[in-house]
Amino acid sequence: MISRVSMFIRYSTTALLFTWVLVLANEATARAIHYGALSNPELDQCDDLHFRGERIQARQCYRQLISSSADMLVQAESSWAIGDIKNANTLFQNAVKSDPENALMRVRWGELFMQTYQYQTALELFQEALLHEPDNSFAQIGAAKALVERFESDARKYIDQVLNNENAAAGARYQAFLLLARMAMEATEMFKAVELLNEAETLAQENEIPPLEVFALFASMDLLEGESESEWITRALEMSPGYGDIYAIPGYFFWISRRYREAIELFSTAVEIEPDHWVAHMELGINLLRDNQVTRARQHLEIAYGGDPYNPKTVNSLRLLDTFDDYDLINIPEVPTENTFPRITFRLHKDESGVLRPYAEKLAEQGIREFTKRYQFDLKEPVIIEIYPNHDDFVVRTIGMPGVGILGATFGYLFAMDSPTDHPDNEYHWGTTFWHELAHVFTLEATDHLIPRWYSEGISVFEEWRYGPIKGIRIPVNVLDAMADDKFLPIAELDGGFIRPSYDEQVIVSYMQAGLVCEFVAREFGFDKIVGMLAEFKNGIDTGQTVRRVLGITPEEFDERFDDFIFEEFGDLLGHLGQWKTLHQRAVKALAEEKWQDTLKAAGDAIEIFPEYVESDSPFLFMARAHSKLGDDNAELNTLHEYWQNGGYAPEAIWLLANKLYHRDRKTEAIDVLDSLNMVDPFDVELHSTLGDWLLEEGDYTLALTEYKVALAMEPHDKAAAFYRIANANYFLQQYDDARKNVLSALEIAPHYRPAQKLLLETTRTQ
Amino acid sequence: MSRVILSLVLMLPLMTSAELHITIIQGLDGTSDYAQQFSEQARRVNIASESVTQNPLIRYFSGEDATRESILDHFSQLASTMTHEDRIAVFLIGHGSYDGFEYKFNIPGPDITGKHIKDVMNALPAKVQLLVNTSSASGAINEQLKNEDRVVITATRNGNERLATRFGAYFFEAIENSAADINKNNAITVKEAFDYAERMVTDYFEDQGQLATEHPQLSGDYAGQFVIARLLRDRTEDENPELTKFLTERGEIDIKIEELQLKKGELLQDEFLSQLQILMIDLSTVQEKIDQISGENQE
Repeated sequence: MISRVSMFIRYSTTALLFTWVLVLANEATARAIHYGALSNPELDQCDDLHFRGERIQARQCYRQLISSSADMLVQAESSWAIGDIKNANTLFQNAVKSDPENALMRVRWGELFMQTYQYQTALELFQEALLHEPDNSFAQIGAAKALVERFESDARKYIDQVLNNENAAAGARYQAFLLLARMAMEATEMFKAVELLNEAETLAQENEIPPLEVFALFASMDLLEGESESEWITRALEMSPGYGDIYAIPGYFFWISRRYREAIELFSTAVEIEPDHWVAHMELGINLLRDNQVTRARQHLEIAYGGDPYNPKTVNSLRLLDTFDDYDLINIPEVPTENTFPRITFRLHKDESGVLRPYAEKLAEQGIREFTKRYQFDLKEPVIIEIYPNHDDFVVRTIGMPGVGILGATFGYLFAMDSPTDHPDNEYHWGTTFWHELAHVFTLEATDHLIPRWYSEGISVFEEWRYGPIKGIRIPVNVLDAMADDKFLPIAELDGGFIRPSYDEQVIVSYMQAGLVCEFVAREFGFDKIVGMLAEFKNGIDTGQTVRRVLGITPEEFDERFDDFIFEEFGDLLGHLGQWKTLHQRAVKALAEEKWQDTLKAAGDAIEIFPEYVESDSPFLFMARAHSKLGDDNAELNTLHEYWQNGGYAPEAIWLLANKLYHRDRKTEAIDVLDSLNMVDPFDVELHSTLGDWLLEEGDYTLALTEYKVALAMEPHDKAAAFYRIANANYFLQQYDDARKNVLSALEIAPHYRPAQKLLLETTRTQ
Repeated sequence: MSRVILSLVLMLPLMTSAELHITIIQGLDGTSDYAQQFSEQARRVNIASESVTQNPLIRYFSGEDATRESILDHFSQLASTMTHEDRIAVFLIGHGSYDGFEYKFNIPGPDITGKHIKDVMNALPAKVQLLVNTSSASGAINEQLKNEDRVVITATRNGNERLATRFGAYFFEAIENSAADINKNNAITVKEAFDYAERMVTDYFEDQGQLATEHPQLSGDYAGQFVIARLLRDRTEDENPELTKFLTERGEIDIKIEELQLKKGELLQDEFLSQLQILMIDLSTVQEKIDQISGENQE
């Protein structure tokens, strides 16, 4: 959604006059259209030259105005028109100082900030303008646009002020209708959007405003509905042959619908007919990146940067591309057989690839094998998997801007996600995220990207619970609260919970609901219906129809039965949730006061109500601590074991459990427990060394070797020991050449390392 | 590391004939937590010192004894008794401060300043010197003490890193921890202890997700040769002639390994490995014989 940032700016400059579009497109920092906000004969004269395409004369005209006009606002507009943004800014500043009550100056200055992507400053200027002139419709619409860019819901308030004011300027009302139509389309409320666009078109006709953007939005609807052509495109191009937005605006709607390849086609056409459409170049570049077309992406991003160096998405994306040299590109298989492509390609940071690769590869191979069978879909292309050690790099890779709290994103055959290194709190289970995103690859590709968001997320969550690295349905407490408050949406409206959440936690609530819907369908109707629904979505059928066709019931019946399912599954828990919260608090307090018996009682009662709660403040952990303090080692072990079996993965607790099992000679279990930490905190040398040692003891030399190699990849302090361990595993695997090389590496560092010396002699004698 | 091994072998006569004097100064702690930490560090370095020198050559100042007068007096006496061939190691454990002009190591009564430390070290005739200052702001004295024959370790990069440090705890942990013994020779050099502690400090701040408030520093040429702790008893003084023969042989192989490692860049990898393998097999075989004679099977 953040991509609206620059798209909107670009689109907002396309509506007023036909000639404006043609000429402004040639300016690197095109001056924002004023939609009738300004009225100055001298400036109009230069603007006329500009509109007619007489650029040299227009520039001369503007230059002359800068030196001859006594009006600082005119000077500022002229400087802006010739691309001298700095001077324009100074002049606006001086103009506002000289006439602080003038709302218009602040509005236009705000538009300058909008053009350079500084939305907060722009918003402040629009709001200051409204302090001086509360009914200034251009300030109102300006504030609305700034808030839309910042994803703030207050935008609606300003739009309503414009539309409710009969005296509002036509240019402002026109922009208000367009904004609303766009928002309706983003929420897939197409009927509403059509009504709004009709209003905008009428207004445009009555006020001689060229309706190009209206055409582009109508064209978007046609193409999204599957039409290969749209009359709106023809009409727009007849009016303005170089109007790139007639393709770029539909391109925007395709990418927010996750149909990235169609978006690429549309943006490509946009820049073909309007080569200096910098935003379209930028969006094309970012969408090409989503399709792993890195070289082509860079070309368009560089063009975008050359034309508009202010766009933060362009700059961020180029900076990210500069870091790609720091990543290893790893194909699986490394040497594909003839006429085959690699199945998987990893882009892993060089500092991390040695650690993450074995686990990521294992998960990917297992996932591809299972998903292919479960969803009856064979991948047509390699899966590209990118893991970023820096969260902001991952987010920039996803949406061009940093600062969004997501963990993974799938674009089709490519998915990107956070590495555990940027989550030092160890609460990030990267293996689960990996499984979730890999499921998206299948659901997106099996439906040609036509799957609704709720179903794609639902299957991914369902996959986590049923088949992921930590199995079991785990519902966060805030989602249980939402369940208790009856906040689940009807199935036909579930997409809205993702796309236009109406309260803070609705997105996570919708994730869980979608997962539960899939669980319900699989249990009540059979797993084949899950696959059947995918097939219907591929045909472009909506959720309501899909439910009817595949499940044979109406969406309303579905909702009723789903409610019953929820009641059956969670009714008891929801009925005792308040009690659980009290017990949990009581356990926390008892723990803090070191009242171990009280801790045991409160935690035990809490666990009885809600055993699936295994977050970092799980009653299991309180209970284990209390048992430990009371000296009951067996009870501590059993509690930790139950915690782990329920999906708990706090590293300290897992280490403790693994060691206890190991020392009780339950080595196989100890290995399983410790191995599960690889999905949480794989950047721990001790984890790999210990796990390797235990595996070696149990005779699993191959897995031991993997763990030892990972330990070495982490550049441990004691490299000699790391090489020795690898050599030892090599020796047991009868890989004597490798054993010799590795033991020599150990001895090169530490010539007097006795175990390594002995292994060298043994290896030599064996050979 | 390879250069270290060669130098260690070449310096053995020097190291064994000369005396190693060790002075440990435990400064003010301020809180009971630090009192416990500093005492533990001092305990460790005292034990480690006994493994590398004779007891009378170790001097430990702590509590009310650690006054400026007594400390300066001690160094004054040392300066008059030690020789050029002797070595000196000084460990400062505690808090330090820096006001932008002068570093002070906090002890009961008047503090020791950076200038005192410099004057004391300069006055000592020992050619090879070691100063380990684990206090906060200790980096303030780096420049004034630099000298190629003097190994100087400070917990901080400069005097502006003023928060209590973690480096000391890790450094003194290293001197009794085989994990710090990178070349597995059962001896911890200054360099090995420093590397271990520096890494632990870095890991600590990374794990906490915090900006590091200390950046340990090391200067001087002999850090890799200066052994400050032995994890096992040195058997070089054993009088068994056969053992002596094998120990000599082992030393000769060590030198050949060192020479080969110096030529590594000039050789193809396979060639290097092949030659290394021959030498390592010789070394391992000799070691096996040493173990048999001495009845050891150390790992």
